[in-house]
Amino acid sequence: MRVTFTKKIKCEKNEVGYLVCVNKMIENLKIKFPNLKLRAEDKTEKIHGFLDLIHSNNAEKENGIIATNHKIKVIMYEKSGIDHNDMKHERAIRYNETFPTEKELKEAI
Amino acid sequence: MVRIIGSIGLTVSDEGTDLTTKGDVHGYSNQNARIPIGNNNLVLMADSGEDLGLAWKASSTSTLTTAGDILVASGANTLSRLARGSDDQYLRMNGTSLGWETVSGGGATLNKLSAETDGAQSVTSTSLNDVTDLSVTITDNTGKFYAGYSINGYMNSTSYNALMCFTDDSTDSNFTQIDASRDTQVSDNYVGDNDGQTLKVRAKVDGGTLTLNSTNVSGRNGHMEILEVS
Repeated sequence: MRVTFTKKIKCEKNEVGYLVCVNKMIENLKIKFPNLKLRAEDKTEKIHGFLDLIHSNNAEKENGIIATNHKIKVIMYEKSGIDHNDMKHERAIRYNETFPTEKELKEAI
Repeated sequence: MVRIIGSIGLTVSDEGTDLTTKGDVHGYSNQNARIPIGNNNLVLMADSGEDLGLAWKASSTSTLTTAGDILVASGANTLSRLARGSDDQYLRMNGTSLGWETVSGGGATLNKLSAETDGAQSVTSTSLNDVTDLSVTITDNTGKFYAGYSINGYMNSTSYNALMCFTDDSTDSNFTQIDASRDTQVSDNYVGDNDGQTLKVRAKVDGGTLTLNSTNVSGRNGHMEILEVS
């Protein structure tokens, strides 16, 4: 399952800033969906899918905060052992709860 | 005053010669003679056309007057100064003349083939995932190759392996792969095999987050693009 949306998020345009940005998204998702694993924390951990996002270069001031648009894709595997390209991938596992909606994901992130 | 006597000795009519000035040297033609000191940076050179067989002539030191000058010959046995060129000019031979010229284009042209991403891309995928917007179908690869050196990869603080590649088919069986580690810039180039193939950039990370970015095209940061060199 692939959910795509954009969201304005404060994000510094450098290596550290990008990482802080992604870490924050992962943390926020954990709060709302504690069992949804979208990033492996070691090289063997199995995951339900992944985050794929572009930290847009265009920044705007929103509520006094400089924020940039983020094009966010949340990919969740439909079948265990099969990745998003229908290729065999032993680290892919299906999320055994109801897949979150675009609205829920956008709010959570 | 010092009177210098030539090595052949004085004839009755030859009374020698006086060296009167600092730097004067002793010369001889059919009698002893004073060769006056030359100007700074000149060198004393044999010259059979001169009465004394010697003359003060230009040296490399006297010819080169400015930092960046190059010594060239403007004719046979003739020293000349080629003044330094301007920024980004190249030294070019034109006929028999050497000069600094502004060269447009150069030997290769660089064209952007793919859409440019609107920023850096982060991915947590553990299997290969297409980098957004970086995909192009090769329509004419004659005499061209495709380069992706605008793309850098760096990882988060973990040491997990990441991979970025160019690929030309969906089975990932024919592509170059590059491992990326923290603070390591990666790049790749690809030689297209057949027209009609789709060339794209794919990436994955074993753990943590991989961020792909670019800083080395036009000095701009935060985007990626596939370039063609022809």
